[in-house]
Amino acid sequence: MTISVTAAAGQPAASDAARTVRVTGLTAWYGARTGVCDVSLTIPEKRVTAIIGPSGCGKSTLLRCLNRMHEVAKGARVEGRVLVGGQDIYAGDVDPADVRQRIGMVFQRPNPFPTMSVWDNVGVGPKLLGRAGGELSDIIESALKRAGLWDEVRDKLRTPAIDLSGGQQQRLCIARSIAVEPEVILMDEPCSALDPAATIRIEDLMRELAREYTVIIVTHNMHQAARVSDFTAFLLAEESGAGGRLVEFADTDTIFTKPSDPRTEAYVTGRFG
Amino acid sequence: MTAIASARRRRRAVDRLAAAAIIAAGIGVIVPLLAILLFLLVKGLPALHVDLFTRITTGAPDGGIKNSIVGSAVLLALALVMGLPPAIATGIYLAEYGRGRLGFLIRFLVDVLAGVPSITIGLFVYTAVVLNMGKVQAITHSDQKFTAFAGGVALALIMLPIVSRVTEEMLLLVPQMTREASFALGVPKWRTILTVVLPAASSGVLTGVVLASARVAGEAAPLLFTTLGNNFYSISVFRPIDALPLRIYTYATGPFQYQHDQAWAASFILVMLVLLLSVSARLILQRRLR
Amino acid sequence: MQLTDTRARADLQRSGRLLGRFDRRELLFRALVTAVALSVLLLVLAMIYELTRQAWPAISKFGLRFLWSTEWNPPKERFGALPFIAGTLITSLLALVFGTVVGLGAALFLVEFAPPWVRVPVSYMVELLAAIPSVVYGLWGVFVLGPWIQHTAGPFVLDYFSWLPFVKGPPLGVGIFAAVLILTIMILPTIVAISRDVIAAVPRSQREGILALGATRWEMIRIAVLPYARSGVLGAAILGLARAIGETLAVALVIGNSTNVPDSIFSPAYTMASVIANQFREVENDMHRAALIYVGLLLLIITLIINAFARLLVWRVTKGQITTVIE
Repeated sequence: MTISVTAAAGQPAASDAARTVRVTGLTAWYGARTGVCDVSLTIPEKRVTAIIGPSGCGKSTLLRCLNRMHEVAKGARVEGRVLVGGQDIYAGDVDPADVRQRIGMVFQRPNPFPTMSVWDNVGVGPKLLGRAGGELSDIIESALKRAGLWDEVRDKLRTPAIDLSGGQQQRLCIARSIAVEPEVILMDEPCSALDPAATIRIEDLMRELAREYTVIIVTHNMHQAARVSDFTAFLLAEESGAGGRLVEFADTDTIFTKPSDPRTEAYVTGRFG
Repeated sequence: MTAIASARRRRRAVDRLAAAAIIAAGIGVIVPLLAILLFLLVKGLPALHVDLFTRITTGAPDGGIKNSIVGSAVLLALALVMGLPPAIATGIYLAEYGRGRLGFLIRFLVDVLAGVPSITIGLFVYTAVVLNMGKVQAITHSDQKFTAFAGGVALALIMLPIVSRVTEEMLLLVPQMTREASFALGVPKWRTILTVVLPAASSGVLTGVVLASARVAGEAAPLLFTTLGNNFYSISVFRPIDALPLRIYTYATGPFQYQHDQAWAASFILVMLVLLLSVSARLILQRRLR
Repeated sequence: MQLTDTRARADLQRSGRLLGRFDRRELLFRALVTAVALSVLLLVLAMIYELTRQAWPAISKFGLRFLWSTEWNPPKERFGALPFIAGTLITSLLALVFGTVVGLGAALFLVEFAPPWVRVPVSYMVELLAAIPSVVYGLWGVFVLGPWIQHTAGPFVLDYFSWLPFVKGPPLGVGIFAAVLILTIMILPTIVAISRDVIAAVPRSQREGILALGATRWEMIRIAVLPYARSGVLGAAILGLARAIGETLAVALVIGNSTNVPDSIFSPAYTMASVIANQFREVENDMHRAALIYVGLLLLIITLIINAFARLLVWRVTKGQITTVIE
């Protein structure tokens, strides 16, 4: 599996595996402010990749560009290319809703739909895709099992989703994302609102999910990145307002034990951030 | 995969249809306003003319509506004089003393009062005031049952809930620190309210008063059986008085073309007045917030 | 400070006297404002009492029969309010339905679709609609809407909808149809303003959650926004209903003034409010007046109930703050 770190435009990748995410020259703005500047990297399929960096370096912005959530904000703009399985998700004829179904997202604070039960929450996505009846039930049950939540909620499937604990709600959101059969799962600091026990369960879940999906997480917790991920990208915004740039991208071991860039070394040894 | 693809096509179509319906609703909501303003301009402006302001209503096309305009001003003044003090007092109570159960009840009733139809208020003032005018003849020196006074009472009742709630809201916006600073100097609560808190909230309260005036200037239903209207010039409090909205109502159902024309002109004046008041209210509030 | 110290005790007594004096003025002020505020309660009670008293001749003669009798015969002193109750219910409920559909759509437009340079002026214009006096709506209704219904909208509706039981010609410019149109326009500002606030209050996390599953914008509205906003919109609708029921002069000018129970959407009719406005100044006898006041009492009770209900609903959502002053 090759890893490209250069800023040069990547080759059209017909040979990319179906769940590889190839980012080329990505720059994103919020109005006049630059969030990330000229980021290029290739995220390997079916592995956990972590994006780390001090706050304000654009990690979340980068993540949100990968499923076209960034453009939902007013005044937001994107340039560059993001190829998933060789297809450019920003191409003119591509439906953003379609992209978001194939590239799921779990947010920092669990956000189950409060007016719906556990069952209905997971079922929302598949119903939109036209699933119904027995097929729908199977999908919901399977998603809850794969998110490691089934045993805990099997007796309370029809109770309101907001009655669950924080950790359970987050796993519910993960089940909700899985239920629409994505190829990639993005997670934006999914454990920062959870207690340590819940965090560990979700970290285990991340490794599980990587057997089927490409998992990309943003985390401000370096130790988490070291525990959980196979590859790590380090972003840094050197001047405020200029946007974050990719400093280094390599397998996690290398980043944390023998990083090539001195700035990476300074960050992972805790000298700043 | 094609099942998903065709479902997606259908979903996109539904999305576009819904967007079209919603945008149509957005446009549909301003069409009536534009239509009304347009006709006011087209029919009201040409009929505007100095005589309207200098001559009173006669039975003929050469008459004006001076009595209506002046009458509206008198009624507004009466409503303010009779309605503002109780409204502000109620607002003070609700904001400063009424944070408990009784306050909840009164606030609820004020809101409920705001919803009483203005014709019902007119009916009430008819039974309570107009029918009893005979009893106070000694004070009023007037044998009239229908009076500007009754009209003023009705309008004051309409103004009361609006100004009370606005006063309450504006007083609540004054930070608690301001009151506490005054208490720390030994100033008692009642004096703090009158000399510190109320002045601080004054532009907000003024906004409320202006908006309430705009609302009250356009009301005719409560005047139908209280002040009745008057074809002659009168500013006396204990005689019937005319008002712009009343005149518009009378002329709209009249048989003569000049009456319809003058109704449009009067409407134009009335709407301009109401718009002026609304815009000033907004400006006062904006200047305050800046 | 030792209270046995005589000088200290004198000081305390003196300051106590001072406090006593302020206490009295404070109590007086507080009593005054409380009394004024309580008078609101007295006012509402007085209204019900006075109207009942004045309507008593009619209440004692007709009792509850008044509510379903259709005979309105002033010279013979026979009165029944069903035509007016029917007129009020039909016009207000229809206005409620149309007003909520269009108003909700417009609120969605303002929050979800309109860029700021459209949203601000349009919101403002909707508020202006609320400021226009009822008589002006009536005037416009008589001279502009009426002819339009007679020549354009009426024939159109008859062409396409006469298979429905209540759609019968001729398309008069005055009647239920005209009243419903005007009432719909008049309650739009209330519904749009409250709905807009309630829709805008739906948290971004909810919207993003459904979008992240691949939902279209309409699906996001349908699944994440509307259920969240449901009770607020309902409250707004009921407030609109209360306004429509009490609306007097605009309706009086376009409703056609007929004491028969309407059988078509183009029939002339009366509403409770408009019959009072229309007939009160020319009552033929005391029973006529009492009957009209009886109608006024019914109107008061209905609006009190609906308003109380609506306020409770809206309060639950907006937590007691007023959203619009012009209502």
